[in-house]
Amino acid sequence: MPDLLEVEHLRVRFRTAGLVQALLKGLDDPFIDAVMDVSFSLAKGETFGLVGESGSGKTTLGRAIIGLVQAQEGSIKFEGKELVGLKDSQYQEVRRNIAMMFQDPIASLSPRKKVRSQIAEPFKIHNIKDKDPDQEARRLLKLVGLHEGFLEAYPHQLSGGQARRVGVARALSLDPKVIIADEPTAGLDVSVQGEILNLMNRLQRELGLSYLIITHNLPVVRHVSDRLAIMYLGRFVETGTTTEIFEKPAHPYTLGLLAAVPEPDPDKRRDKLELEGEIPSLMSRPKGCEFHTRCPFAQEKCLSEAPVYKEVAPGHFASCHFPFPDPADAKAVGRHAMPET
Amino acid sequence: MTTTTPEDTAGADAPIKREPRLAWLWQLLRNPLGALGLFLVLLIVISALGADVFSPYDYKALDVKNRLAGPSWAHLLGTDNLGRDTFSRILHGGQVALYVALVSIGVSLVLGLALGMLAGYGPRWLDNILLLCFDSVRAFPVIMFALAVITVVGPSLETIIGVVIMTTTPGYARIARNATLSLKNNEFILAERSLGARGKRIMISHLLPNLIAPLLILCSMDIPVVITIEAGLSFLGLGVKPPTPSWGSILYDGYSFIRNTPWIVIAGGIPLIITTLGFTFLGESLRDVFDPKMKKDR
Amino acid sequence: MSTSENVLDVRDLSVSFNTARGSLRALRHIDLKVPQNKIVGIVGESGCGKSTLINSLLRLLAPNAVVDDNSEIIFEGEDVMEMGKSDLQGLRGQRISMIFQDPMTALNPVISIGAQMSDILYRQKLTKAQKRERAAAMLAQVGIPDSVRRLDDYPHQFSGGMRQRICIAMALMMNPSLLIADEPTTALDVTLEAQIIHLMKELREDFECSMLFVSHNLGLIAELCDEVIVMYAGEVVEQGNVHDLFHRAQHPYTQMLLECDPARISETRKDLPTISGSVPDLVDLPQGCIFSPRCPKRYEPCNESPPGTFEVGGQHSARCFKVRDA
Repeated sequence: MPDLLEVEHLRVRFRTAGLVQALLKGLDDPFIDAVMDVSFSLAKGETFGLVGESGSGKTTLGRAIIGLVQAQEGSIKFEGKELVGLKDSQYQEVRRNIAMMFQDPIASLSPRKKVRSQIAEPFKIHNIKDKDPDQEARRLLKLVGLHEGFLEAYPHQLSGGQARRVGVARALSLDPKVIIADEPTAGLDVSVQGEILNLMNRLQRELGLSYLIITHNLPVVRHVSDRLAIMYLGRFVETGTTTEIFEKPAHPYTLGLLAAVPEPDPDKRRDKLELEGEIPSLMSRPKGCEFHTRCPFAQEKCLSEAPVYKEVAPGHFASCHFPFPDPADAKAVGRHAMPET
Repeated sequence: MTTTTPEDTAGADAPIKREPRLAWLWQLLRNPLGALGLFLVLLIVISALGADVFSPYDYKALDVKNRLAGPSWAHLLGTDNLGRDTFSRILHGGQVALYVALVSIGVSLVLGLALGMLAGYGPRWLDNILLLCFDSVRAFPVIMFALAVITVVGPSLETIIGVVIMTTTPGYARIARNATLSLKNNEFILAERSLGARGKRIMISHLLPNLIAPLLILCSMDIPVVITIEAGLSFLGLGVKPPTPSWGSILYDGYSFIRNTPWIVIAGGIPLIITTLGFTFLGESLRDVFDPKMKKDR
Repeated sequence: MSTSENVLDVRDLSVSFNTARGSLRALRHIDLKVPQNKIVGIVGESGCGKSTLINSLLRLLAPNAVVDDNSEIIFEGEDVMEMGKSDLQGLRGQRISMIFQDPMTALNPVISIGAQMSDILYRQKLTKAQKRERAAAMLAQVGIPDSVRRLDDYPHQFSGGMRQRICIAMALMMNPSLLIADEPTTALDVTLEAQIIHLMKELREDFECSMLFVSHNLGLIAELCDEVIVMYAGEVVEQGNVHDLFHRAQHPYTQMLLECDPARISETRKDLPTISGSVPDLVDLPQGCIFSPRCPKRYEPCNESPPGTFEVGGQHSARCFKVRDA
């Protein structure tokens, strides 16, 4: 049986200059690749995490799946049906099955609409007549743990956590199979983060949802996702199960990301900085391994030759010439000590 | 030691921050300028609407014996050179002024919103074409354009309305377009698109409610401008046809006798001043109330 | 004298706001000290009064704010509450400077970095060239490569991380006695966050400067701060040195906050702990302890009157009856 969602060699390009402008500036290639050669699959009931810094293309990938940006190459298959190349009108059906939650819980709600019509909106969009939108709104609110008083509230009257719940309710309205959640916990207080993640987890159990979680928050993604992909400059540099990636990261970038998360313990302060510099511009991708400009372990070969994305352990892929085989070996070759997780 | 329990309904039963329904009205009235603006606007609107009730005389009735009379209990603001009661003429002139202003601004608003949203939300080429149209119309000076049209079509109330619509629509359209462009990439629009909403629905139920408040405030400030245009054209004899009174024609009538009987000009000028101040104060205070940057949270 | 050791000494600060619904008691009896050369962290969730506190320190409160008469804010021996206009001018940006959350909005987009930095030195009798030299040296110190040439660049020509470095450089230009950092890394990625924190640690060696570091990220507080203040709904519920707070937290709110942090939960679990209930309405305060409606450990005294501050030992104190009765 094929997976629910299968993405293969997906490429999303954006035009940076118009035809005339490109000609005047003498650009051969007025495009940037926001997502490059990305492949993954999502099974029913699974949670897949996409992790990377801003500018890594993780949000673009999410938006390409739901058709908000157009993919140029590769394929996205939902239940075996090809989505790349579909016209906007043909995407309607897809959007009943895949829902998206956006970063800002309050700004992603239409500011002058009451919660009641926010939740009932999808029924109107898809012209669903066999369900009473009002009753559905009540049912969905209850499902996400809000009382009926909220039906009459406007988005600016809600706290971040409440608005996020409304967002979840709206995403669930058409019984989707997949939910793409872009930074579901951004801007929320730590205690509220837990509530939202618990809610999402309960809904996954009850409704058999699959999640694609886009985030830069590693501590959170560790608790919620089954598998992870680490993105850098639009590519997957490492994928594997969450446990495997947190315990045995193979790519130096993953290691750097993990080490950047501060431990809430004053006895475990860090003196060293694992990852220096910033993510390069998509306009000027580095030659060879694209991470070599920031990689503390870069060697001769990395400057000239692009690494192959290959399996380093069963189900664990990485694109690095010198992947860490094992934490113990990493120490042995004089690399930085692994973070204690 | 675990004191916290895993649960996901925490905080969900919290109260909702609610404001009283007419909070904006109280906020408006708390501002002295806003209260004054609202009072003046209501004064103008009520006197114009009730012109037939409040007028002591028929505005067309001639009283040749009492020509150019000064203010008295019989004629509150005196009479003009044909012996017509100036107060009654001013009340009816207000009707004309408000009619011209509301109809033309109303139509411009609707047209401007529609074209602006199309330009802002639609494809790039449509935006370019519409912008070109807006800007070429806006390049004409209003009065010259009005004079040209009146020369061709002939003076009438409808001509004035038409000219005002032609010249103010592009301004509204441009503002609506710019606002649409900045709203278009907001997360809530993306969220609607991700739910499957199409252009028409996004424009009508999500963009429109967010555009209308700032434009209405602008309208409020444009109303006196239109009234002045109407008065100006009527003053030149290019507006409404006599005997229909207009503040502009009252001014013109009084203008010839300004040395001996200045009260006609004064009586014709005061409502113009009241209208301009009223709508401007109201518009500015409304902007203070609705502009989220000015709004204090606590 | 204790005041000479403390750069900042806030005593019994209470601030309320007049609102349509009544008096909103945003801060109540805040006591807080920032010792010389120490970094004091303020932790708290949204609505805890962090921003009101910062604004009070600089006397930048909204016009509808009322500061209680007993409140004292002693900064280097002077009471900020008594300061006149010109004293305040000399205070803000010169003796106390700030680093904000969003580096883009904190910089003027149409003025070059060099000019913005020289402007800060307007009070000093230096030539233009000297000021530029100072600015360039400062930029180099915060890790901006090629600093002399980059003085003529505008904010948009720098990346987010670089902009925050520039903001830090600008804050340090006047050699302030107190630096207030308000969530300085919230807008940044983890990797840049680590870099900025690393930079702040380096700078604290070079500049003899005390710092008030406001954050909701417990990891950063543990990483950087010497002392920690935990705020909840307008009160300081617990304060002490960083080790006491992270290892021997006494107040139930602090304990729960620590338990909630996903970064502290070592084994992977799908059900995360939360703090049930929500922050109380500050217009209509509960009669007893402010945290009692959400507190799993509450007992009789908690519902009767608000607890005072009780010493746990040394500099460690908590606003909880359990500490008194322990």
